[in-house]
Amino acid sequence: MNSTIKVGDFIIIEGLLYSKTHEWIAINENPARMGISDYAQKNLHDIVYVELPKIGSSFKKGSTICTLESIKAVAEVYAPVDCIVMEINSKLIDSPELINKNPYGEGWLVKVKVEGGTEDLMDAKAYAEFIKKL
Amino acid sequence: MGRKTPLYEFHKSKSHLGEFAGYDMPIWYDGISKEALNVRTNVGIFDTSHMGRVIISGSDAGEFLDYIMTNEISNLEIYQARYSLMCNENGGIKDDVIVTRIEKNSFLIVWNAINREKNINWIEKEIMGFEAEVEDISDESFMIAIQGPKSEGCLQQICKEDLSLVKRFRGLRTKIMEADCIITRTGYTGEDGFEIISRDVEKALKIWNSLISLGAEPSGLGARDVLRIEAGFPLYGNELNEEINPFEARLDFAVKMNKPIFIGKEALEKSKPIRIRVGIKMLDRSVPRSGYKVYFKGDLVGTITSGTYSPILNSSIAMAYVPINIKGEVEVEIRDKMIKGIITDFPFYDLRKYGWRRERN
Repeated sequence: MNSTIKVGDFIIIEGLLYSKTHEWIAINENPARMGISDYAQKNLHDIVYVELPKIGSSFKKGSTICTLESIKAVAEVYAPVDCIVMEINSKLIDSPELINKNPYGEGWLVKVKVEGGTEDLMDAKAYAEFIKKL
Repeated sequence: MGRKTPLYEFHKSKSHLGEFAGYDMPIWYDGISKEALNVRTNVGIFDTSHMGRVIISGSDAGEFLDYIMTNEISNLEIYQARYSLMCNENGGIKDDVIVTRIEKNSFLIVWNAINREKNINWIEKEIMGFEAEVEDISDESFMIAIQGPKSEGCLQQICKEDLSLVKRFRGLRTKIMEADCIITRTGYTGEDGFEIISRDVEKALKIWNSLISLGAEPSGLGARDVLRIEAGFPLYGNELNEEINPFEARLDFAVKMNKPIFIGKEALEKSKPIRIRVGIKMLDRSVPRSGYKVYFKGDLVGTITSGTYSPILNSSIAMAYVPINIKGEVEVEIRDKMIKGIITDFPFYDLRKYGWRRERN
């Protein structure tokens, strides 16, 4: 298990890259797992529905790759990089609460083939600084 | 910053706050689904102090309320409560309320927070000519709803009166932790439970904390919304407004057309509803939300007024207004997709398993 950083109640895992819209991507894996951060799941809270993309579909950085619903709100998950979906976490269809329980583990959303640069993403320390200011 | 109830400091430290009807209210403490499930199986407490509370008193109070309410009020017994509507001259719903007779010539009305100002202005106009007066006690009182199958056992531990003798929609006046309280066996969840109203606002937190120490879980407006949708109860602003009449909202039981006179009666006598409020149980968990479109055999027939995910049903549920002849399967457009649902009677849950009428084990 990678080491973690805590900002208030929010956990951040070292070794992942993070976007300003609170997605994470395991850039060293191939295909790369991606999901939403602990900060995102705690704010969205009580996720009851997940709409996952089709395997093989490609996404531009910043476009909607998944849609999550909590009781109170709909939230879009944006592709942190240009990518192609290689695998989806189909467990989430019946158990979307896994995202709340373990956003960096069992609650991963998709595995993607990275097609573009990661220059806009933050490492764990930079992301920790970023959410401290929110 | 919004208005604050007497329990605000508790909510601020323990919940996710959100704005509702101008108040900073707790939306959830531990989780909406968890709190909603807990009320169905155990006992939860809600701060409902944001709701409007007025007292109508005077020798004509009963007669006045029979005139402005669609239900019969003057025949209530003391500490008996009743659900009623107030309509405008066109039969449109001004608000839905609970009226409790608290003395021979004194009645307590609890109405929706969003309608407080509108209602009080309207009542002050209509009351002219009656020997009656209205007093708004909303800001000088608090209200706690204790809801769930274990609420009697919980509240009983701080209440001297025997609560097992209090029937549904009946109540009493008693002291709880030295606060003078009116308690009625009512609520907005479909479950057994009580609503406590008191003007001793400085005792609010003490009572709230005692109920927690006796096993009640603090529950927010998020869970309250889930519970009332599961029970099929309308919410003013979503299912009810001045353009919708009681028959369209399927609240016929709260309208007594045999009363000689009440505001809106003439219009209601002529009304023939072409659309009605229905429940829709979705075939998956995707949540229909207010404003989403409802289709029947490919035709647009209505709009969702409320929707939520129901943790006891493990599917999403909603309410909508649709033409009266529509039955069976409909589709709701959710983010450009057509999701199937079934028109369903209220409440959405199995009455043998949930709700205050459930079979006791």
